Amino acid sequence: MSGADENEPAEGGMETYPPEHDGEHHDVSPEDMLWSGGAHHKKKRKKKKALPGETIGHLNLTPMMDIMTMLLVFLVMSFATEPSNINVSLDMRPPESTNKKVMEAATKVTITKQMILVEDKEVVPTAKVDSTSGQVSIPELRDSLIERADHLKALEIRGGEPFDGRLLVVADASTPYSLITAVLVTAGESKFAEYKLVVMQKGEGE
Amino acid sequence: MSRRGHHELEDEAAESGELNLTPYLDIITTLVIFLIFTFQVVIEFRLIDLMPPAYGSSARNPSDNPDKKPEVTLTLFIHSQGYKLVTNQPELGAVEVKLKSGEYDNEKLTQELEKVKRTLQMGESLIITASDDIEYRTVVAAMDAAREYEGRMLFPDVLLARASTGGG
Repeated sequence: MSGADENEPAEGGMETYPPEHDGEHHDVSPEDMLWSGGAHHKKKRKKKKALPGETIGHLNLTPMMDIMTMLLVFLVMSFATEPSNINVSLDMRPPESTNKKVMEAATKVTITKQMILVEDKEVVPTAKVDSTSGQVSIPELRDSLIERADHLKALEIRGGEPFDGRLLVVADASTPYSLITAVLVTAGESKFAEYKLVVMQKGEGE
Repeated sequence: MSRRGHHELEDEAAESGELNLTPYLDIITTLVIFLIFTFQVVIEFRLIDLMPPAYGSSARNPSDNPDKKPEVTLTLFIHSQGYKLVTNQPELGAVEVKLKSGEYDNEKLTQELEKVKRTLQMGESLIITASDDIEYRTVVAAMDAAREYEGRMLFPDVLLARASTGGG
């Protein structure tokens, strides 16, 4: 086909696309005529704008579906990111670090400004531990960790994961060094021998 | 809209091959609402390995093997005035890294650690000890500073010790 043929107007019985608006071959109801004033190009506008009191019959849900699906994928992906559930709050905000080692699941000791917890179970108030006066072991924490170690060993006997003595230390950034070492010394007395400090990736908490 | 009109729309949708997405949308909406309510701010956590305390190291009893040189140990002491690096090699002496505008000078610490490592041909172990009142964030910042220098590993293996007890 030549370029000239393309520019020629359609003739006879041939249909053109888009169809020409001649106002004669469209099925327009009297109601539509009343609303649109008889012009076909105004009929399209009527579909978008409903009359007061009239319900919208057919919505295009595809864009909404797109948004909802993307939102769902994002939420599901972020739902199972961490193997260990750590709640950051004003009371407990770990320090930031440039280290790249990813999280592992293990027994967790949390040191907040108020409380020391083992696996989210409150053990002893932080204020009760006077680590600065030479106290290097925390009896309540030791008992709780021994109980936890025994529980994990019992699970191992029943076919659970082997007890490897790994301990995650999750501490607030303002925790004094003496308290950190007191917790580590206590963990050493409680069958835990491998310690890992939990930190936030640098730039995450800003 | 009249009942007839509604049916007409449904018929029209069916004829054009359009799927009825409403039940799917219901499920998605319910799921999204549930996930938003249980959503927590996503923070990526990382781990810093601590070396277990070493008991009875060869450095303590060199008489077992007189030919073997005692192991070089490097200790970083963190105090309120800055950092102090001490080794068991008398020729080096102590290296002080003072506070810079009231803050710990981590860049200078990294440079000094690199210098010490190069001079003494050391391994990758570092003992860190601190005053009782030093904050945990300062210790972690020192660990970061000691880990690498310009892409090369310095001291990734850290052992925490307590100055008051002399343990490690």
